[in-house]
Amino acid sequence: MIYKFHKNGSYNIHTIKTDKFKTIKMEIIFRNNINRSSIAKRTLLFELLMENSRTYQTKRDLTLKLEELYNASCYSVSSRLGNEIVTSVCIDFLNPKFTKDNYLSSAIKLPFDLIFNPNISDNEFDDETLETIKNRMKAEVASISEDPRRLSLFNALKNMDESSISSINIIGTTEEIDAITKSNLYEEYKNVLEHDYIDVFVIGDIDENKIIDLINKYATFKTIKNHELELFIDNHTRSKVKKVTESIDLAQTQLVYIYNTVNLTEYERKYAMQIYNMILGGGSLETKLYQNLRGKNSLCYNITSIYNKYDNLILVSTAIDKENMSKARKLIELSVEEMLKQVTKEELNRAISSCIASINLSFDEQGRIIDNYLFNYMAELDPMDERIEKYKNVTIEDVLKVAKKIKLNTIYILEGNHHEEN
Amino acid sequence: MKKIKINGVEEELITETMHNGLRIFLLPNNRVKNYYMTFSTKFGSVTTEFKKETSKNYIKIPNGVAHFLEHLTFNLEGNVDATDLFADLGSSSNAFTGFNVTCYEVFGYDKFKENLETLLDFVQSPYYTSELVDNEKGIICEEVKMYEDDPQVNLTFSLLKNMLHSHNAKNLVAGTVKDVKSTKLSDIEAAYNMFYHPSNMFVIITGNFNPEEALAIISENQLKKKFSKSFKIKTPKHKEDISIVKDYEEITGNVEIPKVNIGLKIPLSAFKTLKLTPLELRIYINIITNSMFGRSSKIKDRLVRGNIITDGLYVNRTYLDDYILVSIMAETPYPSRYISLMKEEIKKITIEDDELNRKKRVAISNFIRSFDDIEEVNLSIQSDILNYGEVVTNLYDIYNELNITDCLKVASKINSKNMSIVVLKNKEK
Repeated sequence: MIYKFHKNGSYNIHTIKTDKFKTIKMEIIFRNNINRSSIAKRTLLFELLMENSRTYQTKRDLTLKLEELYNASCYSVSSRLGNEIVTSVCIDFLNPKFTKDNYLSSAIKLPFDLIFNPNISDNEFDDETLETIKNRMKAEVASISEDPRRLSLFNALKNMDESSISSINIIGTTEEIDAITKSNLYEEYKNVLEHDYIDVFVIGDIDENKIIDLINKYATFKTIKNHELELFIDNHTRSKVKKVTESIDLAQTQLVYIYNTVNLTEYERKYAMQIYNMILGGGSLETKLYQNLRGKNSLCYNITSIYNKYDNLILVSTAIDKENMSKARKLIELSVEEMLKQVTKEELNRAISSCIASINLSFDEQGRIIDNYLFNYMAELDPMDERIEKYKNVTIEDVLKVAKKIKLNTIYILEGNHHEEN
Repeated sequence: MKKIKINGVEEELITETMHNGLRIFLLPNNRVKNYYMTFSTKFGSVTTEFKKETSKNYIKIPNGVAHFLEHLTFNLEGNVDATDLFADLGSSSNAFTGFNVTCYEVFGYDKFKENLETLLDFVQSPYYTSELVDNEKGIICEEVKMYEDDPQVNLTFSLLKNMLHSHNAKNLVAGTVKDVKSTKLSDIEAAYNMFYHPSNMFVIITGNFNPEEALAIISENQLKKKFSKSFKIKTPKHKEDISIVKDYEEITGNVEIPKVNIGLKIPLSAFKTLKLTPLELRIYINIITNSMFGRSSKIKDRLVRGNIITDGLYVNRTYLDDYILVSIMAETPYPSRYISLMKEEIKKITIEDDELNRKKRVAISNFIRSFDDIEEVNLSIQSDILNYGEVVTNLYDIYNELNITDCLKVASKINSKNMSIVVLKNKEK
């Protein structure tokens, strides 16, 4: 795998040459700080840009074109990374060397065409398309309540601190979506093109110079970046734990615990806390939470802990029968307590090999290889070999030390009300 | 050992059958870092009645036993969980149960021999006790309730229930809470003894490994173990009636915007005169239904632009012994209008030549691209073995030979004669 970085004024190009894959993937990555008042608009903007363009007037025209390009897929993915919003406009396509046609330049051109030639007249987006996307996004907002686990995590974060960026949904609320117009969306479009940080990644069995020429031909960004990006969110701790119970018409009860991580060093954030979380509940089936709630007491099917390092939070989530609530709570609290004193060499080694396995696995997937290099470039990840070495050297003492640096903030219960059938 | 070139891609499949009947399929890809191994038995949720060919009486088990058994297999003697063994080897393990398969899987990058031996050993050393069965019930009941709280699962199985009279595909793979609670140790043991014989099982390994060594490890391992002589398994043939059970139903659930699932039940006998192989028939049906209702279909475009549906149409095909079930799911604020537009569209099922050519190109590309993903290619080999008994290695040629005449003949047989519709709405609305 050969990685090359090419600085290019308004944007950077990163090429990763490898014969691992039969496909080529390009990601045009837009990054900026989250602005609460415009986040829904921004998310909608990228959805809309992927829907059609001046060249491809309808989504169907665009899809048929993609099918002609040997079923290439072109889409955007937006996600919140701490305080930042990161949007990737991607195209994945079969390497033309496996076909009779050479469509490399058409494939590279397509996403830039969607970005730079949207369906706009007189500085306004197309009405019909905007309505379609608004409806789709509002349906997505509504659908959060269809997934009890997702709903409970959202509600828990909202209850923790509604003013924290950690609690927002990047697709916004129904009201925010309703307030988007074809002209204020155009303002957002100009804003993104002028002020976002932009990196273009291409991975595959490629001729780097040819790819760079093509990108430079189609990528007509003229950005002015006069601001710093801020990645981390400092969520406030709470002197008294907040407990909230709500109810829902479902069979299962969802239970969420939110913990703050406090004053971690860079090493602890990147390594020791990752291992801590892997032992607590981030690993698969051998974690403390899993053993205590599922293995020994058959209370649940799933229980996991998620470490959001950019938010400085750990979230524990499970679904249980209402009758077992107090038992489950005791066992979650017991598991977190055990982390303060009872971490075995065996647990440590499993967690370490799990982290290493996950790094290895990430090197067989194009998207995750790109992420690796992106985070590397953002100075948020060390190079792969260094990470493996550093994980190997994490000690029990490191884990016990970070165990003292987590503090319970909020307990959220979404109570199901169905009676057990028998 | 047999080596077979896979046409259209530079890949090679290696197969061998062990002395005890265990079949091995290897597809090495040393460009990647990891390997993915699966160990599967041809036993899933639809089989609840069975016997050895030579036995007199059928054994009957509750729904959900295949899945229950999958959970229990991870418990080893001496209070050991198989997952921990893999975690210690730096790999990750899991399992899943479908209509006609139970599959144990391992992802790893190192210690190939230890991982492969551990996979074979844990599945082949049954340790089931009444206590373990009882302990597992609480966990599985929570899993079942999780599925019951999922609107998508609800909509899928409500439609299957309304389309199938007796076929077990209408039941949740894990069974109901009641099924789980009624499961006994003897049910688990009966299923294990019948379906976990090596001759009913197969191993598939994809990714980075040495195939010669893999065969050596498996063969040494199997020679050490004693199994009964292989036997034929018989399951009673249930006649599933051509009719549907109910043509329309409204159900309620935790949804904001209504969802509609439209199902077509098509007897395979309708295609008999076309003289197509089961594989060719499937490919044509997939292409036709994708073309009519998929992401580039005319009707999807019309429905989305008219704000009739909020996102896409989701086409799904379930192939049973004698039937194909085609279902189309969508989210719509206007269920009745949506249903009437779809009914009109189903009457017009057809395909044009250039569209078939485009879809051929899509199929060929997807086929080549699948080899990049060691999980996807492993599961596609698995599905070939379950559906056709063999791995299909000439798919590239089959795609190239698809023709409009056959395609139109197949299209003409897909109709709404046996159609069922389920609408899922919010309780309060």
